Amino acid sequence: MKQKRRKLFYLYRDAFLASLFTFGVLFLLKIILFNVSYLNPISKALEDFQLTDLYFSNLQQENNDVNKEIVLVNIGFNDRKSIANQINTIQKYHPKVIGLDAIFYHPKDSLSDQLLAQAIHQSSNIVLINKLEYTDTSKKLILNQSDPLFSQNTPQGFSNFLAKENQTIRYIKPSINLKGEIIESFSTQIVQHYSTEAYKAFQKREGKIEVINFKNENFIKLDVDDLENPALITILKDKIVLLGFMGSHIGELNFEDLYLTPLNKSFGGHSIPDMYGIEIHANIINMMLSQKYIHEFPKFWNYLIAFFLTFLNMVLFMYFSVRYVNWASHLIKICQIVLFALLFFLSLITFHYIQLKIEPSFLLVSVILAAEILELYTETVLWMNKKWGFKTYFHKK
Amino acid sequence: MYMLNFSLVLFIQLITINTWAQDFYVYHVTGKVNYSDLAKKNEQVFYNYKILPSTVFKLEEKSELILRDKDYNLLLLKTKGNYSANNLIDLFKNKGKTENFAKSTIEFMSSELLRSDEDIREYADNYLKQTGGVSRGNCIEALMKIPMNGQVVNDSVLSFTWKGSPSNTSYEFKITDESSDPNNEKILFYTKVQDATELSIKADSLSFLKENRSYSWSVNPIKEPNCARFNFKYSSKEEIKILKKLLIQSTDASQIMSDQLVELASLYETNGLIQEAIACYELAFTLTENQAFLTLAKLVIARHQ
Repeated sequence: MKQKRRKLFYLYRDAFLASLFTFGVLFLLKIILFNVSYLNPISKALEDFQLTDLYFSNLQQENNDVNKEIVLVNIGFNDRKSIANQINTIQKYHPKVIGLDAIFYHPKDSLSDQLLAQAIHQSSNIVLINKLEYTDTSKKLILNQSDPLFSQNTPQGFSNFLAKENQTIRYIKPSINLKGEIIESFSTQIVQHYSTEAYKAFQKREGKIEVINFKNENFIKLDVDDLENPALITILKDKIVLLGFMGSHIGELNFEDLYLTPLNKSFGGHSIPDMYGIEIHANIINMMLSQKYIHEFPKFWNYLIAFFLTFLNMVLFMYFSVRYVNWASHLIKICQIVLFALLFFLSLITFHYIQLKIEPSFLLVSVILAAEILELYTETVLWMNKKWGFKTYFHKK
Repeated sequence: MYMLNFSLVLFIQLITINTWAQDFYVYHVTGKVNYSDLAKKNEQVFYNYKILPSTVFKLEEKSELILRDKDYNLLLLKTKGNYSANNLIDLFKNKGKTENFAKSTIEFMSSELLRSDEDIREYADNYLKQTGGVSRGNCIEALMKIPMNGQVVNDSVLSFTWKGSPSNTSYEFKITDESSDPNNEKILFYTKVQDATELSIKADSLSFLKENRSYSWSVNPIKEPNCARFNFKYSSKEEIKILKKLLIQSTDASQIMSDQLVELASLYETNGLIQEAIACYELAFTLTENQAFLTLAKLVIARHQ
């Protein structure tokens, strides 16, 4: 009985040490893959991939419904005078909020500027963008906005997304504290002007980083020259109208203001960007209005669960390798395949049904490497046993 | 028997009337969408068009059609193809039906596991026969005519002419920086042209225009992509005059006239004086009536269009 208990103790202790060893190897691999520039193509492909990308791009149900609250209008290569005309035409259809995703840093020609300023200031339902920019010279984050001619007394929000250069847009920081002043994002400002209820619900989330819920949403898009139509009153009245660049014409791909999103069918490097900035804002606003936020599992808990599951794996694999010596490698391989599929499946299911994002990549890699690391661990502890009499679950005496 | 047929027809009509009592309308259109019904054939769809039992919509590539019922429930069609009224009723009925996510995930996982990852070279013939492989873009034929590709221009009014498109009479005209990446081009001048195939712009009004610099120009029917660009170089009148003089002087004056013209044409072409090169070959043809000179002129056009 005492010997059995001791054996059990060695099993748990060895499983714990082997799990630590696995995590050590994984962290080492992570450092090598992501920090060594020679391996850059591998790290680039891996760095910009999350399992939820698979959900967004391949597993979401096709949607043929149309969003009734947000309408997108293309400004193409319009000059200031034409944008002013677009705003004036849209105002005739009485939208609730107009978001203008364009920045006008300096005055150009006085007539066009005057027309645009008039169009912006004639009504209080326009939200402009500004941009957070980091300057190398002053080593400071500054807020760049349109010339006061356009921006004075006009609500504004920053248009920046939270992502590294040329990587997939997944996150949004809804507000930022800049020199003691809370500055809200463009999407947040639009929601504030459109729905007090949605804005209050959003405020309860305390401005934390949000994962953008890209829901295969279909928005009505109006092209540069599609606005003169009385029938648009039913489409635009009391809606959010987002004016922004979507190519010279809708349907024509232009790489200006085009970004990668998790909806991109081709992930893991070498992908063509798939969504214009204004469409990403529409998705964020839609998430805030429908209050369908994604809950992300904290990183610490993610690692803790990964460690606990790796530990359970190790207990099972060690038991197999001592109890069924001849069949151990077969059993371990079967377990690895089943576990991999199960974890993969469960993480997608939890994401779909309760919008809980658990990133299982680390755990999946640890399952794949567990057998090899166990072999390495066994050899090491047996050698230690021989050399220093280190007691282990694998020692036969 | 006659009674049976009559009741069957009556029954079908009753079902149709019942279904169409719902009323469907066109809510919004993007791109090229046409419809046909008993009264009209292949007409462009318009807002609030009421869908009839005989209506068939034809959606082109990159087009979208949004339909509504009388309660303003919306349905989006965005896949290229033909849609009959009955198709639309089915789509409306099935809208919002949720699939079993667990089932579709398992199906996706198993299809990925069973997916063939054989080397494409091993089944190349079959693959090409079935799929055609990767097709090469959908760009339209280049419409640009003058200035020809690589031509030097020196007029105070720049004239651009192009061929008319059979499907569209509105065009987008662009002048871009020659060196910029075609996928991310730096547009220096942009305008739309309605019902015309030429455009004249005063050189003074183009503030970016600098002497001895090359630019690209392109024109495409609105909403149709154009991948081609023609380059042209802007030069001063004085400089071109000097260049022409130098080129004429460098030809061998001892040759017969037609040979001298051919030599000059070749020099003109190399230096971007394309129209002048063509004129030389045509003059050589007029002098000798030798068709070969006309062929040479056509080859110059082919090289620069």
